[in-house]
Amino acid sequence: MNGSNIKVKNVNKIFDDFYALNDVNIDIKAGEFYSLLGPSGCGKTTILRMIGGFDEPSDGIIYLDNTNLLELPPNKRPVNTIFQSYALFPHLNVYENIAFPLRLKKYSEQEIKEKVQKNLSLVKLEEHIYKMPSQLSGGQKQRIAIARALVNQPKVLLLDEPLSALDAQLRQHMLLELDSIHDEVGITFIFVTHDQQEALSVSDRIAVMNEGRVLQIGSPFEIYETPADKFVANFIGETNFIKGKVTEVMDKYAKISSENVGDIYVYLDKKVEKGSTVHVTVRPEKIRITKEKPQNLPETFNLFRGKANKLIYKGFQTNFFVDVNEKFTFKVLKQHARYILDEGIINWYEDVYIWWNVDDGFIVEVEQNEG
Amino acid sequence: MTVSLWRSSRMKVNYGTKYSLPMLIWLTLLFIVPSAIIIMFSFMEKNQYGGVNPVFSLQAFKDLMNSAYFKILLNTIYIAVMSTIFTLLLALPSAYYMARSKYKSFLMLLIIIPFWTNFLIRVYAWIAVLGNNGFINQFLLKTGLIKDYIGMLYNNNAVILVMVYTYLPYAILPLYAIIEKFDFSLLEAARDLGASKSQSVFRILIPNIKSGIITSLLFTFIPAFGNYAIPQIIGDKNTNMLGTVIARELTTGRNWPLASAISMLLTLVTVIGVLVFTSKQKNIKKVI
Ligand SMILES: Nc1ncnc2c1ncn2[C@@H]1O[C@H](COP(=O)(O)OP(=O)(O)OP(=O)(O)O)[C@@H](O)[C@H]1O
Ligand SMILES: [Mg+2]
Repeated sequence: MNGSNIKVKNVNKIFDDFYALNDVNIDIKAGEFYSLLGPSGCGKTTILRMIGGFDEPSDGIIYLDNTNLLELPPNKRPVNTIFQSYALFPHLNVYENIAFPLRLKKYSEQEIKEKVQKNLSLVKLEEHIYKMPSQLSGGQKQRIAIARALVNQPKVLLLDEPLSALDAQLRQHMLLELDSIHDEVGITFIFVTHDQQEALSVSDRIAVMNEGRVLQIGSPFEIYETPADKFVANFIGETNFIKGKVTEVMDKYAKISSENVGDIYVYLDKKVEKGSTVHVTVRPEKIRITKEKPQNLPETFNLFRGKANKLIYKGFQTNFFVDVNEKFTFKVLKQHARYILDEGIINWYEDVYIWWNVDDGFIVEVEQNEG
Repeated sequence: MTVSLWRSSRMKVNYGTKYSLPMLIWLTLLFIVPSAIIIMFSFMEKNQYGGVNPVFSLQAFKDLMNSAYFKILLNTIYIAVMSTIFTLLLALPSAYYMARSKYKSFLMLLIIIPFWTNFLIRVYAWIAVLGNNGFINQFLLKTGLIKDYIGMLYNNNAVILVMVYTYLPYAILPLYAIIEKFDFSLLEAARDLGASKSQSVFRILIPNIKSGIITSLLFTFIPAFGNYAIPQIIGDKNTNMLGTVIARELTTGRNWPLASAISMLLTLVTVIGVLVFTSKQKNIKKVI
């Protein structure tokens, strides 16, 4: 294994009085593609800067394998960073940018040439070797930054929102490229982003953060399907939240009565007591929508009648906003397999049925101080 | 295609001449004409009572071959170079600190405040600091650290000191302007890639602010080299600078052709200096 593991232990970072990081614990395995995901200002960059050596924790330790990283200056850490602005040296051409770390280590001209060429071919930019950074496109700069960061053969690569300056299509492309580079070099990637799609599509594991705290750590699947709390559920993808009181607890399911929606059944993944107030989440794509009353429903389901008061056609799918009464609107997502053949087309203001399997609803939060 | 190309290039030429006309008049009146007059005067005979006789003569250049003038030229170069070096050594860290400080505008104000006082008054003020009855001597005498005055004025070192004092703000400002625009994350990137602190400064910061450094160099070297007031007030009357010699020949010496010839020498050395500095910059770009 070429990569190293990183352990962030009980790290706090306080700017003046402000807790930028609050007791952060992260355990990153060697060779993992690990994402830090969270909204702007949640402390992602701060963590990266501390691993890179540009900031010190107010409290706590960071280990790389078994060495205490905090004792090393940034230039002695086997860690390289891809900065959000790429930070290519404007006075050096592509070749010299990539050769920069090698010249510091006093490699011979021959070795430098070989290594630069090897890394340039990794990012597929061999023909731009003598261009200045100002002559490169955003995506090309990005790739040079990757090549430069990898030429030192670091144990860990830190990427701070590396794709945010690129347009949507290029971003998708670079993301796949990053993934294949990760497979090729086999080192640990720590990838910072506030874009949930980016994080979900390439990560082995994701740490979701908000306001300086880590809220949930898990695989993309775990984070999406079983969000740990309301914030995570809302941040990762769209969802419907239903607030209600538990009126009945069975062995696998609970009955919840909501002021807005009525009675629903949910899957019990947390222990709840009768009478407590809970928040339930149901993803829009888990809800089916039909014009006719559905036949052959599963054994356990929630069914509502409503009115499709707004719909957004997106080609491959349609987003419906279905009012079940004056108080509650469900977001429903329908993928089109065979648009006209299979389904009666649902138009604006039509009456519809929506239903979902009880196993697709989860309790994300139990309110503590209410009876 | 060809039509539009032809059109755009024609428009460029037209507007170019129109726009540069004021500049052309300005340069002609204030630079080329006076230079031409100086060149003419240097090839004429001197008039006993000042001025020139309109007769061709090479006497001024024969006088200039005198080794005394060569010594003064060397002394002038020495003072200008030393002043430039010390000024830059102080200006670089100051500008860097200013650009990274939270109190940029306040520090900028401090740099500008000296300009509110007349330059000559500030030069004379140095006599009050360094003179035999100045602060430093008085302080050292009173505390008993010295028994007799230390002669600090009227030598090259005093001239260099006051030159550094005078031109430091002019050197700081262009450096500050370029360092402020410098992307400091480049230094972090350099550190990240294995550079020590000093390596990141010498390999990344300095090359990227090169044009500011050259501007500062010129802003210090040119006025220092042609300086008249500072060596006149603070300097040694025997090892003078070219500027003071020109003034002397114009006034008490009543030798305008010689003064003109020395002026030409001064301009020539300055132009050579500027060419050397600026061509170096081009070379660096070529090498990379
Ligand atoms: N040097 C500093 N002094 C004071 N506060 C700071 C400093 N650096 C960061 N902060 C604060 O710490 C918090 C976390 O900042 P950080 O840059 O880590 O956010 P982020 O998660 O990377 O956000 P983004 O997605 O916008 O880049 C922010 O609220 C920021 O204002
Ligand atoms: Mg950030």
